[in-house]
Amino acid sequence: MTTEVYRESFERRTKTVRYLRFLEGLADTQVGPIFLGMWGTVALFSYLLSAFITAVGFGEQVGWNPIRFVRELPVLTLYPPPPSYGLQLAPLQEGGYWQIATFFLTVSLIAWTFRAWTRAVANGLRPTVAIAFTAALFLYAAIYIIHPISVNSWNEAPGHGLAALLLWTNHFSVKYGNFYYNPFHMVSIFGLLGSAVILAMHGATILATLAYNAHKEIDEIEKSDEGTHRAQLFWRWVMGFNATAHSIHVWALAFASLTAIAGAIGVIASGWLEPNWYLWGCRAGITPGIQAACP
Amino acid sequence: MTVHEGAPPGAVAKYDERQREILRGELVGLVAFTILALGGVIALSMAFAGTREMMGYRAEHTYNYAGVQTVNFQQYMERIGRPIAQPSAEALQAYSEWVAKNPRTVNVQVLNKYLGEKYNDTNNVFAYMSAYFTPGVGQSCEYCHNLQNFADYSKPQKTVAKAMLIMQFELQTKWIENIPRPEGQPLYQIKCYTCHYGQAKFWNQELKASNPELFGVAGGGNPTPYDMKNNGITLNGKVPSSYEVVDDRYLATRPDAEGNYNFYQVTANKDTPAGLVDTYRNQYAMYHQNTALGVGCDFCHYGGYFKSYVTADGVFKWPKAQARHMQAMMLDIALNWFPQMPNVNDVTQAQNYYAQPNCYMCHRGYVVPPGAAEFPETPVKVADPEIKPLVELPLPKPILPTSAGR
Amino acid sequence: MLSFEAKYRREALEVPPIPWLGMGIFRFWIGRFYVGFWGLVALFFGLIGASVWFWRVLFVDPLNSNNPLLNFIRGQIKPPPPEVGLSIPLDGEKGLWWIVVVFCATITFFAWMMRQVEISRMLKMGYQVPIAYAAVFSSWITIQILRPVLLGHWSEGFPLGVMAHLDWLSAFGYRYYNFFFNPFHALGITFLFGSAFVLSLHGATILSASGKKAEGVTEENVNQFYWDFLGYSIGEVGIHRLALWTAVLAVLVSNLCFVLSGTVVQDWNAFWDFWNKLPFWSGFGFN
Repeated sequence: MTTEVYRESFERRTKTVRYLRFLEGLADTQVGPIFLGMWGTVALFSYLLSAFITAVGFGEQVGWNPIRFVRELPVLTLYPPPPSYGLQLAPLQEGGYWQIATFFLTVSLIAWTFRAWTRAVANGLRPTVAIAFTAALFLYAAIYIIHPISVNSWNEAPGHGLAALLLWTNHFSVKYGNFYYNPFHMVSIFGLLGSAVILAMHGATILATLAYNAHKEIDEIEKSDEGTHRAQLFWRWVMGFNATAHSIHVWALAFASLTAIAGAIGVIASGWLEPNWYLWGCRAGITPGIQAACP
Repeated sequence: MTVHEGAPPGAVAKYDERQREILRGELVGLVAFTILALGGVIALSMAFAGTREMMGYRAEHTYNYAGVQTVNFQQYMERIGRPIAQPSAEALQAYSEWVAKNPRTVNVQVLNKYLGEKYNDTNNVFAYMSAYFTPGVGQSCEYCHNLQNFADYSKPQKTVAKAMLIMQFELQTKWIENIPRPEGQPLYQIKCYTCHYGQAKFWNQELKASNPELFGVAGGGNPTPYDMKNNGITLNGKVPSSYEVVDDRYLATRPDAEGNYNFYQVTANKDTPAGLVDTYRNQYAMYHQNTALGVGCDFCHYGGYFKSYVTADGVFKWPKAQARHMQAMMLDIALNWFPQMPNVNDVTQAQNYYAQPNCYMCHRGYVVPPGAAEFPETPVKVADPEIKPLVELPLPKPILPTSAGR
Repeated sequence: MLSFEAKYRREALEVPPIPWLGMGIFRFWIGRFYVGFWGLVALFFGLIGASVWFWRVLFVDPLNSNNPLLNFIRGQIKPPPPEVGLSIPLDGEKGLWWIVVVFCATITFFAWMMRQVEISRMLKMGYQVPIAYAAVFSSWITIQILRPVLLGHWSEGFPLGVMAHLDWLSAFGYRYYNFFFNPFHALGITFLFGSAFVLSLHGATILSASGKKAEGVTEENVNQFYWDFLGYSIGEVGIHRLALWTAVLAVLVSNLCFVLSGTVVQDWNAFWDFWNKLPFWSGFGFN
């Protein structure tokens, strides 16, 4: 039924399987066996190395005090190099460690994509999950790699840390003239909120027609039966149109991917193409009111 | 090659009796959660309603755009539980003897210059001193004065106080008198308590970042030393122990050709240098201004475009124009006045590090400082003050509404 | 009608109406749309509300731009000014039209939800869809009605305008200093981005397996993929449960992030002070 090819030296399956009883009825309870594989090893190793470098950077800042480490963990940051270094390899203590950690993080994400690809194919599926992941990867690359290169400064990428990421989001918008006025950001938000809506709609619809086996989606795609019919009619009667068991998943993938791709374009366009999105909004004529805030 | 032939029953969720129960329970849970997220919060908010005032709740409509003082000095001292000092009985006794012998002032050098003839009368000087100096620094007369001879300068505190008084009037006449303001907004005066709030040496007690209520959690509002180091914030060449708005870059700011000071502007254009360090610095400074005045960012800023002085509908944001003016005043204090105050903060002077002014110093969490005094007499500009500025800092070009704005 | 629809319509009409839920005489279709009592309510109030909005924004032309499209994007109906408090202003300049549109919209949204209940019932489905919708509806109520009531004036609601409501959102966040530090906002964002993530995964997963039944691909292949990939396969039922809850929690948690701002918390930075001041580790400074 499935086609699987294993090369023994790299790809032994781990055999541990557990069953989480508390999930019974809610979802499937089996956990494991997880597959390591070559790409999994690369991803795991790279990620752990990146996290280790970050953790060491944190440790240095708290004087290796474990209590301080826990207390300050939310605000600890591994900083990118200051702008004076441009795109060079900075000295280790002045952003070099960040560069190394980011490099290995990127490697781990790319390896993860290949892992998704090979696991899908090995199990007889198309590699659609991997392709979908590249949209998110694009957004990651836009923020950490493409935009910094476009403005010639690694400093414009976020540092590694919780507060660092939150602050980067705010500061990027403050610098580039209010991201609410970035049209790509608008499209991306449409995708993001639309994704939440479609997710709720689809999840609710299938759960509502669970009694008619609507959740057996692969079968329903092949031949739609009572569950899909009721679901389709529900939406048709409510809002005048409906998807099919297949097409709803196309809508799903499209909206989710739109979120990431439009967002990435919005980040990439900031700086070299448009340094001030509010002023762009002024020129485009979309700023509200009498445009008194436009020069 | 499925693994779960040996799986326990229920390992795969499918539609059955149990599922029906779960779905029903789920619906109930969702409804309950929705109501809780709404109604539970109503209850929570009402429970906290009593503490709103204490926590400084300010809805937008209570921001005093009119610049009216919401808490005066007496009320503020009550809030912080600090008694307002009065002259001691001994001092009053000594004074009554002094004024009987000297109805005209002896060696008064500052008050009469700035406030006129009236302050050649000892009684008027005493009234001013006991109304402003005593409560201001929280000390009775003998802290500065030789009670046997009120005109005597044998105590160093009196020399310091005189210098401070000159600073007070100079700042008043140069900066406060010229603050851009809408018609009808009252004008207040700097007095001793505007900064001191009842403490002679107030600097190290209250205004350091070890006081988290003032400076917020590190990282969110106030930077850690690592944040400052990596964002290029130094004071006197070193990373300061806490960020108090004035740093080396601030101290180096001078007006451009058009008379504009640019302390913190970071909104990008084609020529803006790369890097987010300036934005970090900007946000630390802005957060200080938030806590110092007890207002959200939209008090000064139009939420759509922070660089603008008007909203999209043309409403002029006076507070932003005033903040710009105040920042220039703060630079003046930092460059010209604090360094020239004799014996100010022995500890810091010894370290060649002068205490730096910050917004909280006067504002203490209010739009109009509680220590801003309503005083009927406007001081005159003195042509040749005893203490002159070290650096000539012109007034910033005033930012005023254009005819299009309100 | 769809090929199979006729019998479902017959079956639907046989479901007895609940007296308080919907009146029987309105149970008919116009084309593909089911009407029903609640559909009529939604249509009626929806048209009124939308008409008032379009009239005020496009045609009263407050911006004097002579360009309806620009007015559509730039225009807005502002909430009443603060001095009105919670009373109903009868003056157009003082936010009457905002009250009107918000009132009509609230009824329309509620009617839409009841309509979904009606149709779910007629199709003998569970009520998950209208309840998911209720979560979003509760957000509208929270932002435009509940929070203004808690704070004592309508001006706390958002202006009804395409770009204007974005300005409001930006100012709202900055009113509370650093909204990213609002923990409910952060949790809501986690669920929101999580929704996009789960949606992407689920869409991609089904598409990777669809149309391959002929090759013998079943949900077992999907299970095995996820066991390999993540170590856990949530299953066909579980993923839809995860979907509903992730999306709905994003919205419900966000309600909290809104309502707590301005009522209980003024400064989301200072909110975290409690963490620094916990007794067992407040002895030493940050440097």
